Amino acid sequence: MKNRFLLLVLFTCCLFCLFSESWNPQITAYKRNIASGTVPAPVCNLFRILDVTSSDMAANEVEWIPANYRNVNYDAFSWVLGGNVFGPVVVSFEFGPMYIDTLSQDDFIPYDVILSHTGSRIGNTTITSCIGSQTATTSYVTTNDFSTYSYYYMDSISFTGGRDSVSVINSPQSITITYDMSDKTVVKDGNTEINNYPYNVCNYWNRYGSGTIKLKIATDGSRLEGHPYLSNGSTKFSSGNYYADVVVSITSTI
Amino acid sequence: MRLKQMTVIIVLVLVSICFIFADDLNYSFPFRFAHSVNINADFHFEFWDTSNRKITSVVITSPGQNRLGSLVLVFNSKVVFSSIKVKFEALTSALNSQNSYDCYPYSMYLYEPDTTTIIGEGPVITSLLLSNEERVSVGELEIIDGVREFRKQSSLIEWDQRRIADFSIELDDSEVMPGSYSGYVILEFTAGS
Repeated sequence: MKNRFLLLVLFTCCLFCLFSESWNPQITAYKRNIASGTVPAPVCNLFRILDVTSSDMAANEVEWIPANYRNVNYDAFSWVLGGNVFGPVVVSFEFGPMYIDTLSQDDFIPYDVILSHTGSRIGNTTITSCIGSQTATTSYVTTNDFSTYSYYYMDSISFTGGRDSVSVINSPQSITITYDMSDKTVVKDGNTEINNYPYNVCNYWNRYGSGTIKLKIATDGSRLEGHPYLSNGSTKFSSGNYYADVVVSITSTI
Repeated sequence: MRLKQMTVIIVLVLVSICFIFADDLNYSFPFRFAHSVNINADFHFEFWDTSNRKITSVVITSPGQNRLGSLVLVFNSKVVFSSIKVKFEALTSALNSQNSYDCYPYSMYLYEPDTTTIIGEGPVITSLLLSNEERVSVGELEIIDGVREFRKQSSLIEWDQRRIADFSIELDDSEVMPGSYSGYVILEFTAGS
């Protein structure tokens, strides 16, 4: 009988050990906070293109580059990419040639484009962006309810082929950016790591970038040195409106 | 005391975390850049108010002299004129909207920009001078005489402007009944090159 009692106690203790985690009041409270609600479906399609005045551009909208921005840098647009995909997200910018708006397309203005990554955030908290092959320390987000707990994220940014700029002449050119945010939530109590959860606490990030355009045309409408002349040998661009199509594509597989 | 036979039921709570595996996310957004090139010389005339805004009508609230704005040459490349002439035509009198028999006499003046030097003036316009279809010319003024060249101040701007003359309308309220009056004036520019 005594042995049975001891076995029962031992068995009960084993049960306690098995589920000891759930009996830690601090972790229970933490789990309750993050486990409420349903993990939202991953999205990565809140994408805003802003024009030179930081106003939202609509699809197929035209942004006019002023005449006084010839052969100088023009901060043409910026973007905000939002979502909760914690994994690779690929953003591709395709810049088409700038042709005069006629059927013959017999003239074009070459232009240069430079894209820059300007920041990553979770909520209102800036997180470290690791561009290219650089290594960086992770930054963290501290919740309001549990000030001793922190969640670590790092956003990795890379330009395909290391190319963040292109020169567009008479064929489309692309710049591709791959974002990859860490998908681990490391919970620390001060400096002590408590746990490493395979899912995410905060479910929304934003990434910011900007684009600069430089039209390769002289201020008086002449072609710059090196421009391929038309067969008529004219040194000036034909009068008219020139348009370049840009397409931004976002893909992610999770 | 003997323990009763017990049946221990172990309930294992399996906590599973469901990862929602989504399909590939694809999103596309098109827009355009545009730029205008105009290498052909072009010019026109406008009427600007005292704040350098292009206007097509003015509201005068005070009798006497009202310096309303300027006649402005707008151009996008070097232009050379041998003369610029302005012809004033009063299309109607300034007539009372409540009583078309009342008119507000007025006259028009041209000044050199920012000066009190009159370079042109016309007769006083009253209802006695005009009928329904009549147009009264207050004169053709030659603003510039001789070859004059206008160049853009900077090659970085596409359109430049020059004030040619200041324009004034003087109202004679000595025998005017209260009311709201309106009239039409035509300014016709002729530029010779």
